[in-house]
Amino acid sequence: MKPIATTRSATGIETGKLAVWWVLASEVVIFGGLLASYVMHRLGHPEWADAAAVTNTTIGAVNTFVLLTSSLTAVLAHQAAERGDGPRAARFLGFTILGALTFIGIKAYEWSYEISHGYTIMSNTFWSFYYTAAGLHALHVIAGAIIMGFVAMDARKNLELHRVELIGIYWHFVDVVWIFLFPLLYIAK
Amino acid sequence: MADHSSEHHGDGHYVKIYLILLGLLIVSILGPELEIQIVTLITAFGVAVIKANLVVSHFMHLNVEKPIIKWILGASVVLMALMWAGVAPDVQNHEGHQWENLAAQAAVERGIEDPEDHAEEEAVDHEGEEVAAAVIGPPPTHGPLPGGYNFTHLVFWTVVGMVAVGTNAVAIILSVGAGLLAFETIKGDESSG
Repeated sequence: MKPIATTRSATGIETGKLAVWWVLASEVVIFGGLLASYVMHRLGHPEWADAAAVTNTTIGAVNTFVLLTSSLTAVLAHQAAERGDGPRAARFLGFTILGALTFIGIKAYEWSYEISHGYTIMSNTFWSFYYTAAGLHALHVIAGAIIMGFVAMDARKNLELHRVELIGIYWHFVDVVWIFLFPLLYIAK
Repeated sequence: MADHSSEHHGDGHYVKIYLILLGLLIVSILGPELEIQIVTLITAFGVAVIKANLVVSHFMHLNVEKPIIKWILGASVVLMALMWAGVAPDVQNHEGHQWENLAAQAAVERGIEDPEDHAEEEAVDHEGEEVAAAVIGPPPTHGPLPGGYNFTHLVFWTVVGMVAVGTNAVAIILSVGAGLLAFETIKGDESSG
């Protein structure tokens, strides 16, 4: 039997979906505050341009491509779930997890290169922001991939298909955060 | 499941949005190559806003969600903007009426200083003395805090107030959310019992 909170709603929105949006509202403030702080300091410190010039635009672009593609597979999983096709939804969620792993793998290579060349979180304030923002985002990618794995296992058996949409909403938000991180950290040299 | 089942699209619609996103990604990469500041701003950040809007509207289906979701997200964005507006004048500027952030000024000087520029060696030396003095710090006249902030100045307390309002507002929103979910549970238990 389901907990009653998952089946009732005073707002006309399923409780699970409302909760996900509520989490995202707090995430907007967390990431928004971090990125706003970065922009404010960047505008006040022209010398950061030298540090920003070191970041690898190609790697950032490839990771953007990976995340956009994973967003497509996440929304296709949602569409399959809407049609009641759990196995197909699970398959698309699997592709999305693959995208998450690719993103983290590329990020690990990128960070290894930068750290080995002396650009660490302690180098200066630019690199502190860089590792904090990208690191916090990467943690969200890892958390999303783990949760998606559990949702996919249920979806494969046609169970709890509504959760496919919920994890998809979260995943698209992670994509949106990266859409703003990419120009801030990799393009604005 | 979803409230937007009446707006159900085929898979082709999402593939089309994805291809548009990839096209915009290419624009955001190529635009800055022209090295024209306004073009960089538009292609990098303007395109980012368009891309985010496409993802939020079409992939997250926010355009067909109930208004309460938009209000919740809108409140967060307003709080973020409030924080930005309150803090930005103090962070982006390094001096103003009756105040200056010596540590930030010194950091900028150190960062943009070109040691190979011997033609301006004398001037650099002169600035270097000022920077050294700034790092050590002039005699405090109004009790500045680390970083050059002055706790006797109105600007400092304005910023503190704005940050306090912002963080407390977020705490209140999250508390209301948790309360709403708890209320749902209790109400559900009563009606089922």
